[in-house]
Amino acid sequence: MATLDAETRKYWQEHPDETVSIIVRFEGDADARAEALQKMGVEVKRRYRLTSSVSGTCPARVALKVARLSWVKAVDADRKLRIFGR
Amino acid sequence: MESIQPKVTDGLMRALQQAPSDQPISVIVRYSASRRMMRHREHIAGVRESYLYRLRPFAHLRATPEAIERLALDPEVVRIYEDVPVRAFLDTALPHVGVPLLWDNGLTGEGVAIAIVDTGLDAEHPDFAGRVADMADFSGEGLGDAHGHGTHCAGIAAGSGVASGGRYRGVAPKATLYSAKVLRANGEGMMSDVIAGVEWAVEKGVQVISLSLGSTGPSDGRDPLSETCDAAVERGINVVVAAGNDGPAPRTIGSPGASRLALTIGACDDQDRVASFSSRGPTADGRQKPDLVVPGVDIIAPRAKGTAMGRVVDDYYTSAQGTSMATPLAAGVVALLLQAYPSLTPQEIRDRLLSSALDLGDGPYVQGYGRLDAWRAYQSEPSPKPVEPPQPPPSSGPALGEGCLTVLLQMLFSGKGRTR
Repeated sequence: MATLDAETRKYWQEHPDETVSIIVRFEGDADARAEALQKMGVEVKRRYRLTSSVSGTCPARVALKVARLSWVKAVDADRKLRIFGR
Repeated sequence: MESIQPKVTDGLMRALQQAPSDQPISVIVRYSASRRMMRHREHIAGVRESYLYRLRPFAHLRATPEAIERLALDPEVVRIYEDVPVRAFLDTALPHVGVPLLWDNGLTGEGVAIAIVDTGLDAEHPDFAGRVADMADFSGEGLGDAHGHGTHCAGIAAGSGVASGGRYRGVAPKATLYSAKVLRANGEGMMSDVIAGVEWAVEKGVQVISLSLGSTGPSDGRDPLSETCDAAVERGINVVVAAGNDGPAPRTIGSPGASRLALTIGACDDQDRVASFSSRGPTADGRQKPDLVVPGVDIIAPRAKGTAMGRVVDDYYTSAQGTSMATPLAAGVVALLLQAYPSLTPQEIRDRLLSSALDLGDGPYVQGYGRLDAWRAYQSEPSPKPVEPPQPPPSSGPALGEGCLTVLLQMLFSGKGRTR
């Protein structure tokens, strides 16, 4: 089972049709995994090489399915970052 | 009013005489050692307490003149001072951490590439002329810096200071710059874009990546961005990240500050007082962070054209504060060390910086290993015998007023209060 924050899981379960932005980290061939995710309904926005991961969007119910894949290590909700200066 | 004169400073007395009776004045109150400040907060109308200092029995208050008179009559109030605006003492932060001593040894960052992953860069600013190797936009806004934060950070790390006659020179003024724009004009962006910016910098072959951004804490360092930073370090790249501005509460370091391998930077001022805003450790999984504190209070550095971030100094410079400002200062020092010792690994750089840091006595979750000392880091391994830093002569290196970025928070009671 992939790592998925409990609060995020709960929110996605309660809002299965909401489009969510996610970052998926996985094991295995990056291109093949990205393709598999796209076939599941994840619109892949970026592919990352440093950590074998992708970011993209999909309905929350698809994100929950992704989190159940054996080769997926972690699913995170993409989140906002900000500057630390003023 | 005269009856309270023994307890208030002359400056405050003048302010009291001039201020409208209903206008709150910012003051600092010194209590007796057996103070009972809670009573004041609860029972004196017109007083709003904004901060309790812990090292000494001081409190920062905003109070009306009438309330200040009542406060002064309290036997537990020893003295009331007017709060004073910060005064700009330029050229203090970099000498404070020993950077000019490295300049004196010929180190300028030349040949070292630094990536600033931020709000973009005003590449037309004179302080970067001829040294911006590449820029990329991951924010969707297009190149440029409509906020100003990225330009300011780049200037701290590697500005030449040419638009100020050398006055606001950055740490590594001949380093090569790369700019990954990952945050938009409002200073915000998505983690997925920041990760892309870090990857781009890695692919460009930079030696140092500076990230003055992040999320609110706490993080356990297993989030995607923190792990990306770890992966970059494992590839031999020095990644320097801001601790955040959510202090002084503990466990306020988010992502990527909680990264296991990145160098996490908190902020202090030029009098070695850890800034109250600087995020504190431990991380969500109990690790020690930040790693170091570095001056980050009221730093003057390049201003992106058309922006108004911070306190604008002139057309080319602005003053800002935060762990955002401390981080590129540390990144610039890393660049100087890499120029001196190109074969050092990120771990070796880290070891040098941490082992040579000045212990401020503030505890590991506040100061990390202490305040950065560039000279001691330079003098540590492989030099067999570290030497004490010489006092920089006034005419040595960039002269006073010609080499640095910062202004100093002038405390009312220097050396006694801590900005915490």
